[in-house]
Amino acid sequence: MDIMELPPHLANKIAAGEVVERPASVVKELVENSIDAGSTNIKVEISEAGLQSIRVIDNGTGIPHEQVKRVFLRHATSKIRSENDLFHVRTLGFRGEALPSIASVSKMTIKTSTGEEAGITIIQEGGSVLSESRTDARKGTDILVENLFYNTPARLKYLKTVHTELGHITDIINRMAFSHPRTRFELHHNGKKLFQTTGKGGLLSIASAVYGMSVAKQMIPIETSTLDYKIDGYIARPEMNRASRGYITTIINGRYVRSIRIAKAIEAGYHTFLPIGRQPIVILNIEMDPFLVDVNVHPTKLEVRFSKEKELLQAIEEMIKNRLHQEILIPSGTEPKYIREKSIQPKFEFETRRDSDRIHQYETNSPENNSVTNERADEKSSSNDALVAPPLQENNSQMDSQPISTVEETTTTMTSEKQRVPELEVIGQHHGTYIMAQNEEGLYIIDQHAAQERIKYEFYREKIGEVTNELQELLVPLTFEFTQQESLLIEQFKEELEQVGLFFELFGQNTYIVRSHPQWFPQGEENEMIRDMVDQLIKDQSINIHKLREEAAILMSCKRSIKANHYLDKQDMQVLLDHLRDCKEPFTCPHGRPIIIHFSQYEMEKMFKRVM
Amino acid sequence: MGYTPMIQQYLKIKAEYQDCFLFFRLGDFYELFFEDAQRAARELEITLTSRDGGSKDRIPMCGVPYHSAENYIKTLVERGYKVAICEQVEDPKTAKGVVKREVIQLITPGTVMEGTMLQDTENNYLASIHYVENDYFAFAYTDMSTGETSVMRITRGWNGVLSEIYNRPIKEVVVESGFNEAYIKELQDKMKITVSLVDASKLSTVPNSFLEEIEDKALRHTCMILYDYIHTTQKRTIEHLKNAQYIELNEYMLLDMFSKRNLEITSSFMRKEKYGSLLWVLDRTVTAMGARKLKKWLERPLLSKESIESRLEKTEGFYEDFMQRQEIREALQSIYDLERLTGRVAFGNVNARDLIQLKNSLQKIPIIKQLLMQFSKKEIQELSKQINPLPELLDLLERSIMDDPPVSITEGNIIKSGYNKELDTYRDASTNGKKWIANLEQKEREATNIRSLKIGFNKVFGYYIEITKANLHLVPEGRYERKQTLTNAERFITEELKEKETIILEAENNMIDLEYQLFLDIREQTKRFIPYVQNLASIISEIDVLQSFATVSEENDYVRPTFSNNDTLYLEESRHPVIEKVMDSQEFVPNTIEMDNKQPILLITGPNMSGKSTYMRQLALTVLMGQIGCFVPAKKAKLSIVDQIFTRIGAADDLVSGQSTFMVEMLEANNAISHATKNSLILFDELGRGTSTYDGMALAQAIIEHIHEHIGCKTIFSTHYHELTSLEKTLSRLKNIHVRAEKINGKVVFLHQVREGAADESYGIHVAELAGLPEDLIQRASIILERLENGSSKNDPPTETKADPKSVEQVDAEQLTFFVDNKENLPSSNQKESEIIKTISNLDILEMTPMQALNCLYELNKQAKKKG
Repeated sequence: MDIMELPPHLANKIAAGEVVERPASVVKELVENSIDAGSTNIKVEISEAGLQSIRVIDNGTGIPHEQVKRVFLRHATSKIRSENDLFHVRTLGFRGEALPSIASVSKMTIKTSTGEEAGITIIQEGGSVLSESRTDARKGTDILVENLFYNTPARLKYLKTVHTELGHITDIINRMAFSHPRTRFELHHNGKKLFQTTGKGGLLSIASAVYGMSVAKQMIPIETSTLDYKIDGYIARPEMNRASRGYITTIINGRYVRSIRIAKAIEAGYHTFLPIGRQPIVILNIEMDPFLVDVNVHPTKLEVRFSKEKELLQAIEEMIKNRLHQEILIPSGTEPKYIREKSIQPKFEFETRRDSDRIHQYETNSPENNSVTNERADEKSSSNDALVAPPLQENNSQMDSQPISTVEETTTTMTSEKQRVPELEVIGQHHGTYIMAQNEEGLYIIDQHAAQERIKYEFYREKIGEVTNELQELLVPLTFEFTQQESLLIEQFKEELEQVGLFFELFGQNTYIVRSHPQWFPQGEENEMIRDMVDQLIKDQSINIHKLREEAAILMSCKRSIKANHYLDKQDMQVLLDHLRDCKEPFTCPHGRPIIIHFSQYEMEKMFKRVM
Repeated sequence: MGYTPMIQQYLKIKAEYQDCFLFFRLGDFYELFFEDAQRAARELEITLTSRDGGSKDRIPMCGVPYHSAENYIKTLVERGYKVAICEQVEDPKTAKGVVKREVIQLITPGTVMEGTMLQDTENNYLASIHYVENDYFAFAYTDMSTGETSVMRITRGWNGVLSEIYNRPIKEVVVESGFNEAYIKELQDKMKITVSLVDASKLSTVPNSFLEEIEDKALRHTCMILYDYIHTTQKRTIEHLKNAQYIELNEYMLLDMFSKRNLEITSSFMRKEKYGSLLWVLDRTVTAMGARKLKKWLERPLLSKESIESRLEKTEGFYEDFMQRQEIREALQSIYDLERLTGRVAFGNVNARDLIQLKNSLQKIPIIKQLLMQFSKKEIQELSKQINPLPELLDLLERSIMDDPPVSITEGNIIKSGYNKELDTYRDASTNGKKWIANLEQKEREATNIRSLKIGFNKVFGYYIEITKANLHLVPEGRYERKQTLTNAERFITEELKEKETIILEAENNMIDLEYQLFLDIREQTKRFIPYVQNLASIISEIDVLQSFATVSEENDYVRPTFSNNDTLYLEESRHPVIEKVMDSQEFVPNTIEMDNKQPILLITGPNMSGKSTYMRQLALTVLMGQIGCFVPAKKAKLSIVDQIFTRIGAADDLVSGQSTFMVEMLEANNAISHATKNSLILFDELGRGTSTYDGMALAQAIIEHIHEHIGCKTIFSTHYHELTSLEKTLSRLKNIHVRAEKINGKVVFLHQVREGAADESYGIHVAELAGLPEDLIQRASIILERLENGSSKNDPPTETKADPKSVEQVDAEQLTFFVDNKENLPSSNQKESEIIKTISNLDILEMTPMQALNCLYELNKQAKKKG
């Protein structure tokens, strides 16, 4: 066979293989074109999850009738002209691949008009034009794709159920809606309206449309900016969590992208607020100079590369962490209140040690502190000053380092009036597991095990934070057996492991022996700790000493804390609560489960139908 | 006569109720006799029998059982009939001779109170009309089920009255005897409304409060007629009727019945149903009260800028705070029809379940009150402050009525324990008694050693002790009294048992009586709150309508209109709200509409089917939506307040009344010209269509000129008389616009876009082609057209081949100028003129055929145009 250039329609079909994987890809390409055309109103009508038909109707600029046939040519586009344009791409599509690819594997009808002249309708199938006629002058483009993959039976077979394919399509539309809040989207399937945004509301109303109102009510607005990046969006309170990362939406310069690194930075921001293995619901909108981001990485343009990645990731993590700190994260016993779309951010000049400031009130040794006490007492609405816990000895050092004047409190959000964990009076214990406490604001229930876990965890974390590289010899060396893959990893990261203090020696086929371990390993837990570390290595393909220490602290705190069904007397409980108030993050145990639940006075009355 | 006393009684009563079906109570049945029976048997599809009435022939008879009478009554009333219920008013056992009977109630279409006969989302009106003088009628209508009454002056004669009645759910009209027969007939036949007569000389007294706010004598009289009729039919005092409200028609946008029909505001033109009407698009109300209120707002668009803006503010508030709006919607789901509930409370046919519905609704009110405070707009928070959650009424209902009471109020189980001491005592007695009896079983078993001894109960014998035959020998002597024998057992009673049973039964009877009394008392107490509940209902229904506006505005992409002070109207990319929703796969082409004081009159030309009438209708509907306080379908909207809308759209022959299309057109045109003001909106579609070309064009031009000179309001004319586009030159405030169509590759493409200037051609032939007329016919038409176009200047009308001879005769000097282009006013030689005049005077008109006359005229015309 001679070497010949492929005829266009065949070349298209091959290209289609990359670009047009499934109906959702078609939807994505068409909708992106609509957006690039400046549409403010995009309607998507799907039949049988796109296998029967996909129709995208927009009100963008439309195409002049004499140019319409060119859309079927490969590498023909209106979006870039020169090489320079490529580096400053502001549109979503630019390759000139989408329409010819789709056209080659379907029956496509395009009706378009610029609004100035009679429109044109062209019907083509598999790359050949079947008919054309002139029509009304409605400005915009209406593309109907039918019988997708009619001439590539293998691809057709590969597609999943209607349900799955529809899920992908819905996903795409959701993402588009988030990345273009000023555009109105509608999605219909088999005649039924599935989804709609107004194009007038902000991200929050889109979140409400995508995730439902109950989630939207739990979303907290966030924003931050660095020299190069401007970030804003919404994060859901940690109690709204999901099993997969699919609920993290990242938009870069108006384009939805997938970035595992960003997702991880987000997760890090939520650190210990989330139960293990659960993911948050987050919408991040990031703006940057297009020069800093490379979109030409993957044909579907979902993956991108950043020039200044580390800075971005750090900004994201810190932003989320700080914001979550500011929120009181005691889940209410019943429904929480909602926030308004553009609520004013509380201007907290806020140090994370606020709770320690409150300890000030118990210290009566300095007149300066006294005046502060009086001030604070007036501001406070919740706690009962008469119930004073015995003065705490821990954390004294922190108190002196806090200039009082930096703490300002504004009351713009609904929850900002509350302190972190307010003072509570112990009422009793339930089943030896839960501590019941109260104050003016209502009833509180504390999981004593979780509380102690948190207390111990913070204690150990600090302790463990003291880095020494001393090693401890094991009386009886430990042997470990691994799989082939694990062994390879251990070989690969031998150096890192040694830095951490673990020396693995080969001791047979896929077996290693360890004779010593770092000083800070909890006693009796060596075996588990080592196992954990190796597990971490496998999962992350890297060793993070902080993380390791973290895990160690968590492990120890869990094992050593009072369990359930452990009866305490009132004083013990009060002490526990006071220790809890000292914690940095008193609202969740290290595994992310809640420690304290609050029933406000109003909720109680509502439950007992005293009010309606 | 020979009739039996009962039949005589029947006839006597029937004489007073000639125009009703008389339901005559006989035992467990309502019977109908004579003609009533025959007609009822037909209408209700029940068997017609007969009965011996003492006379020679048997009397026709049919009947329905008492328990299921309501359904039958409902059928009759729905068909517009009146039903008189005649009950036995004394106990048959104690009656001597024929049992006394009286009509206790008339059920008529306009006065129904039964829930099943009413439509949730529609009011049910009874109206009264009183002719005062000239064109002045006094008009009032009331909804018994909700208690509202409105009164107004109608100054536009009978048509004005018909316009008010049109599309409003008026089921019955009351007039004085002596009212114009023709009008009555029109109401009955054309509008299918039941008409009842009232003797104005014997009017019953009306409570002062009802008429408190009405001063005008004529209006008061109308109200009195109304009230009298209600009183007669219901035969009891009507306490829940709110004061009659005077409505000044000039404060609202006036729509005549043609417009209401043409614009399809509350019902579609073709099928007379809600689908396809503006109401259908706007109705996302959650409560029945809201649905009715929306209809009322649509019937009375506002004219004051202030009140319109106030409504728009609230709509905007609901639009923006979408989460709170969703919560309001959910809360409203639990609110029952408070308006109709109060009606029933007042009327006396409310039951315990109704009160529970009232209670459930009241429980939700504080939530709504609180939710409203969560909105950012002050105006909405104001609404919250107006809500009075009536805690005392709620408390009363919560304390007194059980949660799941039966429908009937005479079977007990209605009142909660703890509400009334006496009732509680009876309950205890009943309960304790029963407990005691239950314990008795054990006691007796031990006493008699009969292990299988049982205590049972049945309705006939009451409580008994049952002992199997095998154990009979163990029955103690003396104490047990045998009561009943069965195959395998014997049943006994004891003194004690009997005593206890008596106590229980007595207690239960007392309970039932007492509960009934207590219920009546609670009802009376509830009555005091009626005005407050009605107030609450009014606010709730307003909230419901506003959230409905916000919801549709969000879903359909509407924008908030602004109102200008300088009569400018500007709608950017305006759309038709109904068509864009109904269009299935096509997408609506938006068009910008612009009118101001400088050019308020638009003349639109272009092929048929290209969207001219849609353009006009969408303007009217947009104006209407804006003035009821809703957002409008456009990208941007600046409106100017319109006081009336006149339309002449559609080609319906009014076949029922025997008027031709053209007659209807002229009536509608006349209506507009007589009543339009500078602030009105006139929409004439294809004016002059219904008659011959010359007449039509002449009238069209004359009408346009009249409006231009004497009225000057915003007007859109559409016409197929292309000649009329030249009017732009003579009438300074008229502008030509056209719907674009293009001929591409020999085919006509409708662009559906409106642009300035006159249309290029008529495209009539192309439309005919699209319609599928035969090819050769089309070709022939094209040839004729070409010949005509080339033979004369473009602005000449094509010669008609079927001229009406009469119209030719009417061609006079004035009309001649019509056809000559003004521009070509040649410096005519007197010679040419005199030649033409000579030719005309030599015409022998009586001997000409129409064809000849036209040809002649054609020649004359050509001659007149020739230069020199």
